[in-house]
Amino acid sequence: MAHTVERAADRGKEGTVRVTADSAPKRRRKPPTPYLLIAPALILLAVVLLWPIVQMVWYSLTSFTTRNLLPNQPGPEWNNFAHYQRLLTDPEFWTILRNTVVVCVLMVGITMVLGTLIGILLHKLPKWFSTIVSVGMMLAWATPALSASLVFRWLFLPERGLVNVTLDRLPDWLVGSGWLEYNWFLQPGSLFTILITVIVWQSFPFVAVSVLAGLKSIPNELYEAAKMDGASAWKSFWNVTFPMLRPLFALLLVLQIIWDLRVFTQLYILANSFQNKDVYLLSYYIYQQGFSASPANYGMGSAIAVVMTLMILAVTAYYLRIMIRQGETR
Amino acid sequence: MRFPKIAAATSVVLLAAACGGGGSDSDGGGSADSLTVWVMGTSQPPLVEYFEGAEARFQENNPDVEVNVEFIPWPDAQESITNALAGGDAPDVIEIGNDQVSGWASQGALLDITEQVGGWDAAAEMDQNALEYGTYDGVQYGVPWFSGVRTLYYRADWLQDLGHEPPTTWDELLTVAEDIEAEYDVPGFAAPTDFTNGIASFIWSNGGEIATQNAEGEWEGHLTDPATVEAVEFYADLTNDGISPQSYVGENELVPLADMANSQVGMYIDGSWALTSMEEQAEDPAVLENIVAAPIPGADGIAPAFAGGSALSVFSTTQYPELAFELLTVLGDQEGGQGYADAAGFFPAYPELLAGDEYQKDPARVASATQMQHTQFFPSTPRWTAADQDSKILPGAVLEIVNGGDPEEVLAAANEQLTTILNEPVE
Repeated sequence: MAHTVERAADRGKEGTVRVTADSAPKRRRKPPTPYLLIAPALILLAVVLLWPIVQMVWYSLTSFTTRNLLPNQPGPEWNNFAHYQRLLTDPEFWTILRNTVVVCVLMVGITMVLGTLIGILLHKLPKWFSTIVSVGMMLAWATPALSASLVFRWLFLPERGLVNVTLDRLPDWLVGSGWLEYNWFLQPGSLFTILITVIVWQSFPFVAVSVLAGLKSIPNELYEAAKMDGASAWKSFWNVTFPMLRPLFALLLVLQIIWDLRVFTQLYILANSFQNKDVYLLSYYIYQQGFSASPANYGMGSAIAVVMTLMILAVTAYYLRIMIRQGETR
Repeated sequence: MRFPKIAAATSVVLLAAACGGGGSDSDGGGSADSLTVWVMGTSQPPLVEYFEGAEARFQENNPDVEVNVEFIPWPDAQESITNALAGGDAPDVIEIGNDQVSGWASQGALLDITEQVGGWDAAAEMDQNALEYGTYDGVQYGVPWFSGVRTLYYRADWLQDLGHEPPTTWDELLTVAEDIEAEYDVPGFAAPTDFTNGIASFIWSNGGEIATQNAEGEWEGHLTDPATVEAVEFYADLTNDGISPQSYVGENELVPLADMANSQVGMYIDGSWALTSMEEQAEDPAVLENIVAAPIPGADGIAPAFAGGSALSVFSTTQYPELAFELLTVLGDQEGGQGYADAAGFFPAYPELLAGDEYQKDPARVASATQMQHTQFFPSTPRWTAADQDSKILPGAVLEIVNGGDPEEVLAAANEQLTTILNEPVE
């Protein structure tokens, strides 16, 4: 750390010297080559990233439904923030927003903790064994979301799902009775539990393998030194591993938040389409309004999407701030 | 799953024998080489054969115009139509669920065919209620193509062994269902909660209503009427009392369909078209011989079923409106309508044909034919699709009651939502 700071300071000094020595006009004459070189990439980014966002924001301010798609119909019309007014005053929307945040925090938290623990375990295992475990985990990671959710849905089906049948066969004093009939997919609590399980099951391998890669880059001397100082495993994690891997953790955290905010497929399978409004999450609500509603309400769908984009941008901005502070952007 | 593409829809292109020569200029919009028809469902040999015949009839007057038929699976219908509206790949003639005509009409997807229908003789012979159901704001957008009703399916061999006749009332339904469960250890009756059509039958049979339009044109929900509450409670209690298992909660009728085909349930409600799917899903096809239909049992006597069916419409973006309507008449007149109904397992939209022995005496059809005389329509407004398909008001209410909600409270909230949605201006 100290090393980087020093070098940056040196460079700063050099820069200052040059600016004072050379004249300012000379600088202005500098050819715009770097900007020209970067221009195609910037334009491409603007087209594929910014333009859709601009369109989304514009749609969210209009009453845009399927009718406006027709060539002989007028385009969507400005509707005076009606979608936002409706969203902000709709208790249903606030419940969905709250659920989204809670479920996302749980998913990300469990994924990060479990992934880190398994990463450390992999680091400690003999090589052949850790390879076997990694391959097993990567299979879970590589399973298509659709297949994974279907398998979990079958596991928890009332009357015939493996989980229900097993729980029913276990002694009543241990787990209670009536499990065979229990339907997990009706109440938000039990459905979100399964949803979180699917998501964590599919995403912890990525964290584990990333952490493993990070761990391999930490020189062993640091741990030896910590051991000499009498640090427990817990202490050496918080005082050696965590600070060394902080940028990695930040990156993983942000990626997980962004991925988990957008969860759709798994919920679609588990909740069995759109009949139960209690289990909507934001991404689900966007699709329901924008595509599944009749007529499809693109304006409202966009408005909800804007809310979600803002959330993701906030997370990203926070991440960028950390990165810049740590000098990681150089 | 997430973005089913039209491309995924089964499409069958029927070949035309004609080649060369100029097109017909009859409609002034340039010459047409081909017209496209969208039909809901999947391609099956009898249907392909039907459309070959229809094309041949159409070509008697328009020898140079091919007819292309594309089959769109029902669940993809909405997205396919939306995509077609957005400017690509739209059909000329389209089949549309009869309760969705006003919805798509209000979105500008369908062409005003009031005048053409007025001048078409066959229209006068159609079921006039069904014809009326194809209008929106006094404008004709669709003509009935076929109708189909749901009936009660039951295991004839089991009922015979138990000494029961097919149930005709709710009380009998309970008795038969309990006896089936006691004897065969499978659920006696399936009451899936995501099943507006079935729930509606129970409501109507008890003298209840879903919503009606008052003199000022405002819609009023009737979910809090005592008769409606009682019927919904009865339906939900089928699950609460263990007559229908928990595994059907939150499901539509397709899950019991598979169970019926595999001897895992005694009775359930579905349409005549379900038998084809059962044939595909049955491990032991011999079981199907014992699956027989009867009219839906009501509070006392036959329960009204939703007068389901499809309408034929002309898509608003067609370049050849007159030619498209001509094709529509070929598909939808007595010959075309009966031909399709027979090929697909439905009923023609002509009462005169329905009264014939072919439908009234055929044991496979007699239950549906009887049920056809006891039917009702859902609220005739474009907002009905929003209330049902989109907000799932009735299925949602039943789900909540099964989940332990208080029926009165749940239905009061649902009624408020229903009234609001039905009265929202059409965007």
